[in-house]
Amino acid sequence: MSDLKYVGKSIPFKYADQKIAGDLKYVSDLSMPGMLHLKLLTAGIPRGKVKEIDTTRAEALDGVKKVYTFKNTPRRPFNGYYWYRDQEMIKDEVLLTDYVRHVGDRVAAVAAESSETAERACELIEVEYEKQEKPILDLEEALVGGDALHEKGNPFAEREFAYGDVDGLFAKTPSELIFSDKMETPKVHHAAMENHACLAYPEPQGKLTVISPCQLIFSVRLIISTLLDLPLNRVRVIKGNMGGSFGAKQETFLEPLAAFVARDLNRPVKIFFNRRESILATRTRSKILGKVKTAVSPEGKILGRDIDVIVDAGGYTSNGDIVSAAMAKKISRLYRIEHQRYHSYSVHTTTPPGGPCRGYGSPQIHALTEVNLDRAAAALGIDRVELRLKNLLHPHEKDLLGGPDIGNARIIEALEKGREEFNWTRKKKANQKSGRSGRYRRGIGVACATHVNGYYNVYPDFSGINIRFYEDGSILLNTSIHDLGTGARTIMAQIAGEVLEVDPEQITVLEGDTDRSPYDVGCHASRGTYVIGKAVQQAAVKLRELLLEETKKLAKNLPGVKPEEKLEVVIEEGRIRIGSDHYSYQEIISRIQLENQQELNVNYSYHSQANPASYGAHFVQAEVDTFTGLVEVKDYVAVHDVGQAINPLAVKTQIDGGVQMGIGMALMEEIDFDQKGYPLNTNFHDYHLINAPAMPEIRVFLIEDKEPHGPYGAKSIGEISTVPVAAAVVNAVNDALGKFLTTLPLTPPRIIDALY
Amino acid sequence: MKINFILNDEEKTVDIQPDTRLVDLLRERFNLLSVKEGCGQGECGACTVIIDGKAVTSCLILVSQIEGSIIWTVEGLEKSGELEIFKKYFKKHGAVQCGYCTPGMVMSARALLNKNKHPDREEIRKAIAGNLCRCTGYNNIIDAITAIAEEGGFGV
Amino acid sequence: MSELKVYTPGEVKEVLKLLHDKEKVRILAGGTDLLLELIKLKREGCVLIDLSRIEGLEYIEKKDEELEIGSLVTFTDIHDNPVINKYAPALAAASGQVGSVQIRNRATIGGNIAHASPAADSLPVLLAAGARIKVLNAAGAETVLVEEFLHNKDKYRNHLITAILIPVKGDNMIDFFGKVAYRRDVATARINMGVRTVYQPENGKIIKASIFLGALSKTGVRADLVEEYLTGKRVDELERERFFAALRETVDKSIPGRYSQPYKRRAICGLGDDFLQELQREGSYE
Repeated sequence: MSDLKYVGKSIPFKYADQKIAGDLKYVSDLSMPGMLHLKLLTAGIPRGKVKEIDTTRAEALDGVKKVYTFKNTPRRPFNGYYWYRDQEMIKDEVLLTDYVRHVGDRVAAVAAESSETAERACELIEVEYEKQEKPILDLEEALVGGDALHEKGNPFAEREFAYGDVDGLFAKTPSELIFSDKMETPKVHHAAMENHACLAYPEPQGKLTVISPCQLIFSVRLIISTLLDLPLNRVRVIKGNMGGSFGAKQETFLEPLAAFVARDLNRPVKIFFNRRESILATRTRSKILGKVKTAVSPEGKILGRDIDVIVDAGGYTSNGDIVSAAMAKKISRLYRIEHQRYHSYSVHTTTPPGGPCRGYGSPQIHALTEVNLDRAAAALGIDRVELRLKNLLHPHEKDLLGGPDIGNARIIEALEKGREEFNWTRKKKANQKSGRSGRYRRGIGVACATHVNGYYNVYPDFSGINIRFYEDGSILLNTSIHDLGTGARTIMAQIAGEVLEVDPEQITVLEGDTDRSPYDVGCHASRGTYVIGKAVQQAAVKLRELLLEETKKLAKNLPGVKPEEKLEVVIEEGRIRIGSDHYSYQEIISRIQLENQQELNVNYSYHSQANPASYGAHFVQAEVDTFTGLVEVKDYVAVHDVGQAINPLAVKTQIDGGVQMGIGMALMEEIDFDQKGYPLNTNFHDYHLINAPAMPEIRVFLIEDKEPHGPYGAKSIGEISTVPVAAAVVNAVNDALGKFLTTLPLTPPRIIDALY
Repeated sequence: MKINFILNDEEKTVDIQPDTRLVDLLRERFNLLSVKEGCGQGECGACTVIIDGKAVTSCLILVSQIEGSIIWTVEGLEKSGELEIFKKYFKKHGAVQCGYCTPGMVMSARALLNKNKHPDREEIRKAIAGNLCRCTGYNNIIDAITAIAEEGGFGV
Repeated sequence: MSELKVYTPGEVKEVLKLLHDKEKVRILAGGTDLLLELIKLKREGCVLIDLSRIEGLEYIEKKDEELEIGSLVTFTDIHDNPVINKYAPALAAASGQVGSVQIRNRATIGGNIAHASPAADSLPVLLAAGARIKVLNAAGAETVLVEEFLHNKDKYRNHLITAILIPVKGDNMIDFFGKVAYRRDVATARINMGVRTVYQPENGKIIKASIFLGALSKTGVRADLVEEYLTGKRVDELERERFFAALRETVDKSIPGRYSQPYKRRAICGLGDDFLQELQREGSYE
């Protein structure tokens, strides 16, 4: 397979030079003449009905242009996850609220000439609440307490997915073969280094343009047009340069407000959050409280599983319940389990809303099920890797829940490779020898995981591409890709370059702009490489065909070409051969333009053909200080079934980054609240991320066995890379301690609490 | 208040409110947009610049404190040519993803190499402990800084 | 809107005059603590005295049995200084664990003492060593124990700290600093500990132990039970469990019923264990 020239190469990312030099302007760096700064007043209390808002002091402040509250902004409810027209969902959020449902809820906004003035004015707004109501924090209480934040009550949604005969199985399985766990996963902050930002400005003819560092320009446009009653052609949304997202910028709630104010005041308006606001007033990884019951035969065959989950949607519905469905759809795509049920309730709590977050429920559900498997292995005396190997799905096996084909699933190889590279058996023996004594205890953990490649069969999953040759042989690839910092543009250039035999350097890849680029669903659900990449590949194939076709027309008129050779036109190593003569692209394309008067331009729309599963197996060695409860990750092996790495270094970086996020979820990241519902950590001082000294070296290994419908056989890596991490880390800690800790993150106090 | 300092090898005098933060001065007055703000509390390191040879977070410094200081940002390294080696190895090792933390990382790395020409990986980790990155998992950045140190050229 | 007023005096006497004359006055040294509250300071219309133009407070000197450190010396400079590493190694160690590189490059020891955050890493070692500080106000100079300063902060509100005086570690002493935080690097101490022990060179018997715990109270807690336990014993006579029990009891007494008590009473044993190892390395006698 080494005949690939650009695919499979670790080509440096486009725009890396500009990023290093600080030349790349992120949305938060943008400014425009006459631009106003829009600052939000977030509630500061967890819950309460606004009785009165007095904005007079704020309005009187020099430099304040206008103050907004629920009284002078659209009341139409929306859901930031509204994504395609007529999508059915609960719409319960408004631009500015008169009923506070979490501390970060948007109560007012000030447009002012400077951000400092706007901030000062926000402090001068006096909000009186009727009374401060009781917070809803505990998920089990929320379920039965009868208290609710919205009309629909709590729980606001229930789901069940099942196959086989779960009740029958559990009825006949002896209790010693049934293994139960209860797991709590934390509300996590995405922690993109660039805080949320957007810029909206009016344009002539009543048009409105919004620059947003988002993941789905067409959905942002749709929500703005719906809320402001504007036809789609009067709203233009441009994907701006973005300092990370991880799902945080996949929902639309700031853009419509900026757009409304820009229209109202006929001035450019920019919102740029601070860290506290990004933590409290955007979205979070949905917290879950899960219960699992697994029946396993004495030989280690997983017989059946029953899962019950409560999803914490936070103060607004957003996609809380959709995350639940996404979790359900993972349970039958990793192991062969003949009887299975997944049931969930989604509840509202007085905390920041859950939303999309790298892995979209997968890290949570895998934490529940993978930690639980270790309990079964321990009880049955079966090696944890062996137990998994006995049950993992083989390539192209059926998803018993009825999901799309899992495709060329190579999780078994991944797990075996990891076992070998990690030295699982030797490490296990060493641990057994040292026993569980002494201050520092080492343990090893493993977890397997699966994730998606787009939306095939569930939601619209298509992508438009425009690709054209310039007359010098360079290429414009016009896509609606949203590069979240992952190098997506480079990946697309590598794919197109491979097809067309053009150096990716010679390919300009445009990001999304609703006025100028073809439609695409958005960059989420791990569909970037697998779906959009495939669309790019197909479009490039069409362009290649067009080039040949037009060259053939041209060949007829080329001097010196023998008649019998005139139709023998082929592309060889980035040059065109006509008969025995070689021509550069530049020569040919210029002549096609001049003589055929034809532009080499292809518009192509591709919809995905499958949704195979991506897989990862992670191995962790952790050392626990049983005095302080601090955990250090000593060794880490990550093996991923990626089909084909388009850019191996980019894949490795995705994995390392995914591990950073996952260790955080396992050990330290949690937006925490006191009993009254006030947040305890609203900056990086208290909300700790894994920093460089806490980050282990990651030994990455890839299983590359091509996936039929992926571009050059590739499948997703961005999300799956973080899916097994928390489970693997927790399993290693539990192994070290001889416990089954299941309340994440495993902070030092929680570990100490479990030990004494 | 009038403040004099040397910014990226140029003498500057500004008349400015003394309670302005250095990050705001650099971004707003001098348009040095490499200096990013990620937390405003000295915890993320995105606003790291070098003052008198040392890495500092410019969000926790008032302009009144920089009288007579020598300040470098990534733009200055670009002008002096020093940035080339950072570009070379940060790209080669995949140390740049979204890029928002990158200029701050470069400045922390540059300051480290002032002090320690041949840092080991652990020393590099410590040196960038105050620079958060959510994309890369740091290891590629450490690879890049290691390569830069190996090629040398910095330090007294 | 009242602006923050910033003065940049070039002489100590100007500082003292401002401290005397102005209301709501705050001293800006490195700024890594103070500027976290910048907005609040602005809203309150505070007066800042920026010390960045004061010269002569950035020295490190050994004077007979004392180290004198100018109040504007940064933690980086303390951590890197060979004299401090020799004569006050626990202070050097603590200084290396303050925040990040960027913070240590700005934060000053004087600022750390003046701000007196309960979790400040320099304080337990200064307390354990019996350090004193030189303070000035318009009325004159005074040298006061750090411990006393912390207990009488109101009294010293309008004073300027100019220097820190630390009794040097003798050959018959063992100094120790330890810190537990929820992340190994760049995190606030959940508990920290500074120790200075004096032993008899002839037999290794501990004749004096001074132990302070931080992040338990506003002022640092003297671990008197632990001191008592150690005093009069040789290292090889120490019983781990009894030593730990004394540490735990100190924590229990300091923060009874507080939600962090169960954690801190265990975590302190981690520091105790580290300290015992240090004792065994340094003070073990056959």
